[in-house]
Amino acid sequence: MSLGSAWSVGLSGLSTASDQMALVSRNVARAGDVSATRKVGEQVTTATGSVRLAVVGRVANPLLLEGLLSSRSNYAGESVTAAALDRLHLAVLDPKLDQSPAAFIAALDGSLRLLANDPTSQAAASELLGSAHSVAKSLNDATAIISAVRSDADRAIADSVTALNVTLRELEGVNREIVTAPAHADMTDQLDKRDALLKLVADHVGIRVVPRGANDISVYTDSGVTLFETVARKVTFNSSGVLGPGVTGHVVTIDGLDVTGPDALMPLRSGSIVAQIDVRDNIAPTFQTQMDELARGLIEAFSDPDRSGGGKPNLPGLFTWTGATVPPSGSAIAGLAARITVNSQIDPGRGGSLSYLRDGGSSAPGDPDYNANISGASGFSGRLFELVGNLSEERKFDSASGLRSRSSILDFSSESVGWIDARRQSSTNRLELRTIIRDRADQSLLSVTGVNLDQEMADLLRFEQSFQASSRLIATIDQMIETILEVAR
Amino acid sequence: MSIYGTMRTSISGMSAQADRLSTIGDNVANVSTNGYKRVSTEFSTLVLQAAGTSYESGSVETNIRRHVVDQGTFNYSKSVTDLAINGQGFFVVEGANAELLLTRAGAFTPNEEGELVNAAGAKLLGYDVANWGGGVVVNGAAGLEPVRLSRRALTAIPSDEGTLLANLPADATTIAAANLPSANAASSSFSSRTSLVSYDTLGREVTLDFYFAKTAPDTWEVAVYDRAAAAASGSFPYSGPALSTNTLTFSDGRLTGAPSSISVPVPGGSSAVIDISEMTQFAGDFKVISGSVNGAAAVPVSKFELSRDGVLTAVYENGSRIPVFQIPLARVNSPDNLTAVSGNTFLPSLTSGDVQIGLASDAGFGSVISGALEQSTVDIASEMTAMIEAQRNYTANSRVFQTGADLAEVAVNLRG
Amino acid sequence: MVVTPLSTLMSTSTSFASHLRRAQGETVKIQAEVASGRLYDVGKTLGYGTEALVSFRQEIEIGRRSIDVNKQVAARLDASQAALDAIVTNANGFMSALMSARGDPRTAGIVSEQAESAFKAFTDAANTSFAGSFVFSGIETALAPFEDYFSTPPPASRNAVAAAFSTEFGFSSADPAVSNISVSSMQAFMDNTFASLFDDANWNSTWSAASSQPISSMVSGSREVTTSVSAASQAFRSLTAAFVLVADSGTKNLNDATFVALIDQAVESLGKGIALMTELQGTLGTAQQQVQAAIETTSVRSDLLEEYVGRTEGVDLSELSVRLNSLLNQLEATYAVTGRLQNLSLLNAL
Repeated sequence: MSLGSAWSVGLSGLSTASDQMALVSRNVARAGDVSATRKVGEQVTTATGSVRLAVVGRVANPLLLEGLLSSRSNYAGESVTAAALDRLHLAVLDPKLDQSPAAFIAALDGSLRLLANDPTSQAAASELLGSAHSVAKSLNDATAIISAVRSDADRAIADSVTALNVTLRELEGVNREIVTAPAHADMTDQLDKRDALLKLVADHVGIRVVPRGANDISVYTDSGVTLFETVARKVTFNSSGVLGPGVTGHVVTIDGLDVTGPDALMPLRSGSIVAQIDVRDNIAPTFQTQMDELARGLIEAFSDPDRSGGGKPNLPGLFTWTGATVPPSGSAIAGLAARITVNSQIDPGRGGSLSYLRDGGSSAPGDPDYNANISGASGFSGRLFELVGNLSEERKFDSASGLRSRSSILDFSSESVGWIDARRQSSTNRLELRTIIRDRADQSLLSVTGVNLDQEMADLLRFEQSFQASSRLIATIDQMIETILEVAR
Repeated sequence: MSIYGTMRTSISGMSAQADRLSTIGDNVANVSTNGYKRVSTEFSTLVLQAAGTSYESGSVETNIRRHVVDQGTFNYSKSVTDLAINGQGFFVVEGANAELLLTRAGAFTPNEEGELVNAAGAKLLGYDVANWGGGVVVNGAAGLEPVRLSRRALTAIPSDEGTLLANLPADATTIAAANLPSANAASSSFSSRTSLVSYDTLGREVTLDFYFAKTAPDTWEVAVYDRAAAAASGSFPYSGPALSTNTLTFSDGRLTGAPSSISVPVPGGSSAVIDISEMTQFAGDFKVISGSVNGAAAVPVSKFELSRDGVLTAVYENGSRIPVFQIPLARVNSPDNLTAVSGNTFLPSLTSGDVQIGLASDAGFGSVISGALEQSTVDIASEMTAMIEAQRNYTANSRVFQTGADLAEVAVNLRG
Repeated sequence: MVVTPLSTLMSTSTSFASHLRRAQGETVKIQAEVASGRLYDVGKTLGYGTEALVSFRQEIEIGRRSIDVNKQVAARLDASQAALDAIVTNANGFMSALMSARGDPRTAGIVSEQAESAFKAFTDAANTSFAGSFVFSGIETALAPFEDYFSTPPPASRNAVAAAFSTEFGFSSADPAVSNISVSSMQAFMDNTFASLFDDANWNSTWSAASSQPISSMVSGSREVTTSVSAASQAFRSLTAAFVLVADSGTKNLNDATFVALIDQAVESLGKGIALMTELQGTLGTAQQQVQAAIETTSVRSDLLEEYVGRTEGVDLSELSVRLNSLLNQLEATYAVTGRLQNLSLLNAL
C-alpha cells in the first residue's frame, strides 16, 4: 500500500504546486492593477497525508480600506469646491488687471471727479457714461458667470447621481455573486471588484461599509442613510436646467429620504455631491447676493431725491434696472446685478441727453422737483460732487451677502474680492491636505495588500522547486514499480 | 497412499496458490477502481489424522478475506456529488432490484431523473428533509428514498426573523407627539431612519422603513412602515398604518426592559421577529452596525453543497441555503465479512452483522467528504511481490506433484 | 517567508506620481513668478488680504484722477490770476490818465477815448476762457461775462445807460446840451440813477451773464474749495462803473466843473475797484496754494500705496531662484531614485 499512497501523495503535491503557480501568475498578471490584491493559497494536509489547495484567499485590510474611502470622499468634495471657487474668481480676476467691479467703480469715481471739474466738457461726460457702462457690464457678466457655475453644478449632480445608481446596481450584482458562492470557492476577484466599486461610490458620497455574514456587506452613507442592503437603494435627483439668480435647485433623495437641502433630517456630509450642492445653494448664491447688493447700492447712490421737500419717492438716476424704482435699503433683490443698466435717458446713443449727468432728474424729465441745477448754470458741479460723496458714504447692505452690513460702495466692492479670495485660499490649502491624506491612505493600502513582483518571483521559485521535487518522487516510485515488474517477468 | 496423498496435497497447494493469483489478478485489475477493497487470501491447514509412524499430508484451505475496513487515500475532484467517507461507514444505495446495498464508492452523478447514481447504477438513498422527522431508523430502510437533485421547485422563503443593531443619537431633539412617526401625519418627522429588505410568501421584496423618534430623554419610539405604502414624496403620510410601533427605553445607553425584539408582520408574508436587544443610545451619530432580515425571493437553485455530516443543501441564486436531504451512513459489526456484489457494493451477510443506519455526525461513523473519491486500497508493489511469491509457490507445488508422480510411476512400474 | 510589504505599484504609484506632479507644477509657478516679478496667484496667496489690496488700488486710481483734475484747476487758476493782473495794470494806467485829465479839462475828449479803450481791455481780460470755459462767469461757464459795450447795435447795458441819462437830463449824452449840466445835478445823477444801474438786479440782467456763484473744486478727498472769482463781484462793477462813466456820459461836452466832478467820481470808483480786485487776487492765491498742497499730499499718499501694493504682490527674486534650484535638485534626485528602484527587481536575477 505504501508505494500507492506515496504515488497519490506525490501527485497531490504536484497538482498543489501547479495550483500555487497559477495563483502566482494571476498575481503577476495583475501587478499593475490598482485595485488588485495579492492572492494567497492556503495549503492543507489531509488525513491521508496528501496535500491540497484548500482556499484561495486574498490579503485585505478592511480598516485601511475604510480610511481610503473616507479620504477619497473628502478629496472629491474639496476638489469640487476649489474648482468652483476658481471659476467664480473669473468675475474679479487678478487685482492688477483692474477688471473687477471694484476697479470699475473706482474708475467711475475718477470720471465723476473729472466731469465735476468741467461740467461742460463733452469728453468728460462721455467718459463718465463709458465708466458707468463698464460698471453695469461687469455686474452683468459676474451674474452670468455665477449662473453658469450654478447650472453646471446642478448638471454635475445629475451626472453623479446617474453614475452612482449604475455603480450601486453593479455592486448589487457582484455582491450577490459573492454571497451565493459555495463555501470555499475562489471569490477573490469578485471581492476585489466589489472594493473597486466601493471606491467609486465613495467619490460621490461618503460611505460606511458594514459587514454581514457570508462575505455580505451593507453600505450606508456617512449620515446613516441606507445605500445598499441586499438590494441597491434608489438615488434620485431632478435636474433644473439653467438656474437663474434666486431660483433654487432640487434636492437629492436616497432611499426615499431627502439627504440635501434645509429639510434633510439625515444630510450627507462628504463626497462630491454634497460639495456641488454647497456650490449651487450656498457659495454661488452668496457671491450673487454681493453683486446684487452692489447693484442696489449703486442705484441707490445715484438716485435723485425730491429736492422740493415734497416727499416724493427717490427715482433712479445714472443707474437703473428693469424695475425702474429705487429698491428699499438693506435688502437684496435676487438677480438685480443682471438687470442693472445705464439709464437710457442719459445715453445719447439711445435718445437721451448727457446733461442729466450734471443736473440729475433723468427719470423725471421736466419735473423741477428732481432738478438739482436750479439756476441752470452750465458749470453746475454740485450734483456731481454729491455723487462722489455718495460713493464713499456709508450705507446699509443686506447681511445675507456675508459682508459687513454697514459699508460704502467702494469698500463693499473690495470686501467682496477679499471674500472670494479668502475662500479660494483656504480651499486650496485644504485640497492640498486632502490630496496628501488620500495619497497616504492609498499607499498604506497598497503596501499591505498589493502585489510585489519580487515576492511573487521568490514564491515562484519555491513552488517550482516543490513541483520538481514531487515529479522526482513520482519518477522514483515509477522506477521502483518498474523494478518489481521486471522481477515478476 | 501417501504418494497419492502428496499429489493431492500439492494439487491443493497449487489451487491455493492459483486462488491467490486470482485475488492478485482481481486486485491488480481494480487498482484504479474507486472504493475497491483489496482482497487477500488466508490459508489454513487441513490436517488429516496422522499415526505416529506415517504421515498423511493434508491440504490447504483458502479463505478469502476482503479488507473492507481499510481506508484508501482520497482523490480530490471538483464535483460536489463525488463523495467519500473519512472513517467508518458506508453509503446506503439501492441496487437494480431495490435491495439495500452498502458501498464506499461515492462517484455519484445525477441521472435523467436527478437521482444520484454511481458508476454501477446504484442509487444513493437518503432522508428527504421535508418529510423526515429527524429520527433515524437504525435497523431498516424505512424513510429512505433516492436522493434527488433536480426538479426542486422554486421556493420563496418568507422572512421570519432578522436583527437590527444600531446606535441612536443620544443628543437628538425630542419630537412632539403630534409629529411622531406613529401618527402618520404629513407633518410627521423623525430622528433617524433606516430600511431593510424582507420577503413575503411569494418571494416579493418588501422594503421595511424603520423610523426612530425620540419622545423623551432615553425614550424612543420605533415605527415600522411598508415602503410600498409611502406617499409620492417617499415619506409620510403612508397609505397604510404602521406595521408595528414600539417604545424603547434606554438606561446608560443600553436597551432596558421589554421589548427585546419587535414583531413586524410583513405584508403578504409572515411575521418577522426582528431582534433589537443590542440597540444602543450613545452620543454620536446614527450608525447601523448590523441589520439583516432572512428570507429569499423565489429564485431557482444555483448549486448544491454537501456538508461533513451528510446534509445536502440547496443553494439558491440569492444565497439562501436550505437543507434538502440528509444522507445517512450505515455500518456493520464486521465489515470484512460483507458479501461483495458487483458494482463496488456489499451486501450484509449472516456473518457481517446487521446493518445499523446512522448519521455521519454520530459516534462510530466517519464524516462525509464532498468533492473527493476514495481510491482503491491496492498497492501494486505488494501485489507484484505477492504474485512472484505465488508463482514460485505454484512452481514448487508442481515440482512436488511432479516428484510424487514420478515416484508413483516408479511404484507402478515395479511389477515388471 | 514574507518579504517587506512594498507593492510594486508603489514606486510608480499614485503618491509618487502626485509628488512629481506637484513638484513640476511648483516649478512652472516659480518660473512664471520670476518672469513677471509678481505672485503667481495674488488672490490665493493673500486670501482676505486681497480686500485691502483692492481697496488701495481703488485709492491709487482715484488719487491719480484727483491729481490730474487738480493740475487742471491749478492751470485755470494761473490763467485767472494772469487776467486779474492785466485788469489791475490796465486800471492803474487809466487811473493815472484820469489824474492827469483832472487837471486839464481840455483833454476831456482824449480821456473819454482812453476810457473806451481801457474798458475794452478790461472786458477782454474779464472774458478770459480756459479750456473752453469762461473763468470769471462763476458756474455759468458757458456764458461770457461781458458783451462788447461798443458794438452796434448797442447792448442792453449801453441802452440802459443811455436811457438813464435821457431820463435824468432829458437829452442824450451825445447832445451838446450836456455842457449845461451842473455839478450838483451830475453828482445827483452819479450817486443815484447811475449807481442804481450797477445794483444786483440790474447787473445780472443787463451787464453780465456771470453767475454770482463761483466754481468750486474737489481739492482733496471730498472737500470742496472755491477756485474762481465771479464777474458779478463788486470789484468788476466798480471798475465797470468807472469806465462807463468816463466813456459814455458825454464827457467831451461837459463843462469844466462838471467834468472835474465826473473825474472825481470815476477816480473814487476806480480806486475802490482796484482795491477789491486786489482782494480777489488774494482769494485766488489762497485757492492756488490749497490746490498745490492737495496735489502734493495726494502724490505722496499714492506713492506710498503703490509701494505697498508692489511689495505685497511682488516676489523676492533671490529667494525664488534659491527655491527653484532646490526644487530642480529634488526632482532630479527623485527621477534618479525611481530609476534605480525600477532596476531593483528579482526578475533581473532569474
